[in-house]
Amino acid sequence: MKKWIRNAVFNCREATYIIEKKLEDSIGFRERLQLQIHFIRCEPCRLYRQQSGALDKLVTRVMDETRTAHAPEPDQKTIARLQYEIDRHLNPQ
Amino acid sequence: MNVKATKLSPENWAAEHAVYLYAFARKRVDEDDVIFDLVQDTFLAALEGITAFKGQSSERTWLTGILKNKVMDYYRRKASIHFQSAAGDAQADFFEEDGHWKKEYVPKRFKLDEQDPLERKEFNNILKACMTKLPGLWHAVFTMKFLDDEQSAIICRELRITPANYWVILHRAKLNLRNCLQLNGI
Repeated sequence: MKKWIRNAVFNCREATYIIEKKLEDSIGFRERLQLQIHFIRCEPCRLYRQQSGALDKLVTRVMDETRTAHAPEPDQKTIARLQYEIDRHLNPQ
Repeated sequence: MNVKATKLSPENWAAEHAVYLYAFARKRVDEDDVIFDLVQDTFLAALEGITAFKGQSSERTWLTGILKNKVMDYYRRKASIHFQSAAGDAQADFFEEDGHWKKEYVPKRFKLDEQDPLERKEFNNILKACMTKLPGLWHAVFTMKFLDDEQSAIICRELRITPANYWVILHRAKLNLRNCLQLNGI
């Protein structure tokens, strides 16, 4: 009985793993229950859940900002170089 | 039904598509010379596959598909290099043997959303710095998940990893990222 209880309860490593899974996938009833039980007595993992969800949004935002911020276009010289290679392969000597 | 097939005109490829393909690659790769190589490889691979082109999509869609595969190859190559070299520090274990948080890694509160534009900018810079510390494979998973909004099944297929591996990678990456932000005292 005791062993059964121990196996049914997540430790923090397992709990954080399941938190990540839950953020983008569905988890089963059993896992959800185990997670809730873990949260009852584990404040750090409750905090982790909150931070991890927020982190997903922030990462998305930063990546969006980065890609719009600097997108230098290839200059004429670069474009000419690319076309030169294409032409060379189109009409091999 | 008579559908007009798209014709290819490689003699105009660079002028027509280089800017677009560059922008596509730049979103996913941050080294300039790599971007040039990827775009060039795309054009050359397209020339080799020119007879396989059925004309069912536009020239640009077809070229973009080829470029996407080149980017995946690049991710995979980068991932396999980094996987070995970064094994040390990246494997830092956040948990005790019994699976509970190690004292030095226990999550603590830190500011996650900044209203003040200046502080927000600083926060973004720290987050970016923390993200670049992630090893190659994690970086690839992150880029695909957050930038392309790809589903985990597609990421697994493209990067040739199992779903179990995917979750382990993501779990580790998030643990590292969260810890990095906490350490940098925001």
